[in-house]
Amino acid sequence: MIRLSYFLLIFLVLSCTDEPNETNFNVSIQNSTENLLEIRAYLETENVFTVALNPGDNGPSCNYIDENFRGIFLNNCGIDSLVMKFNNDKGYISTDTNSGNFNFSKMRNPLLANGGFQNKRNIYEFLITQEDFENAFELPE
Amino acid sequence: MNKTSIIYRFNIQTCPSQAFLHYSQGCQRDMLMESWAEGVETVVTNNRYKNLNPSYFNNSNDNIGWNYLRQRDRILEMNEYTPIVADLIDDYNQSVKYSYLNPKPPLDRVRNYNLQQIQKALDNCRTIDCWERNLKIYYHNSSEQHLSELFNYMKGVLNNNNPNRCD
Repeated sequence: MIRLSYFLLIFLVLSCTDEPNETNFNVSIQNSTENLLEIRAYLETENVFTVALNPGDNGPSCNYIDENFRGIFLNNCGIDSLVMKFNNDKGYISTDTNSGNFNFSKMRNPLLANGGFQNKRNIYEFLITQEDFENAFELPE
Repeated sequence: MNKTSIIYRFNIQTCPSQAFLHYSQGCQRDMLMESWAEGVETVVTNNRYKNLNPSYFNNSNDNIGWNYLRQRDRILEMNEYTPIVADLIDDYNQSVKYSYLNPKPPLDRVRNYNLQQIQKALDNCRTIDCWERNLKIYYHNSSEQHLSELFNYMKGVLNNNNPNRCD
């Protein structure tokens, strides 16, 4: 009986499948312009937080563990849209479905996995450049 | 790394001429095993939730419940834990649902197989082609003309260079 129990235990352990590998990701936005940048984050039209980034500053930061990098993803970071406005009141609006008319050029979007991030050892930065400042949209009130 | 990988790695070192073949087959077998296990987990868990707590299906899981993130994955992000089993059953075409992702997730126009059929078709198979072929031979399904399209994404995963994938 004891042998049978050992056999069953070994059989069950050897029959297990593996678990997928997960990675710790850190994602943020870097203000690489020479201008002040205000970032307002929303979840279902509610303002979750607002931060101001001086030139060269980095933020807001979001950490999560996942199999894949997913950008500033709704379920990991708790926001579904971002309004990024420079001190001249021009800027960009990014949403988690990439909708709207105020998106960054070249399909860039900090809320999406392939949104145009720089990756250094799973620290992902979305760079907002001086060129972005020059091409920014007049945003609606 | 699972036991199968260890055995195949051993074979690679001891039998170089067969190395590539074993390498590829090892990952393919991992993909069959883990995708099946993942699929059963997804389907059975969601069936239980449908009965016990329908409100579980909400925006936080894209209204498709457990393992919803697998449906967002693109071929380049996938590993051996593919959503192929759920894709054979559900009517959720992730390529349309997440059309704003670039590239899009795979096209899934197959539906209405059940776990028993999928299991029987997988039985004794060691390759993706075998699983697909058996589903076509054993069962009539109104969406079976799209089976090759669906199974092609599994084959794409074998070559996707994802460092987290089986090797």
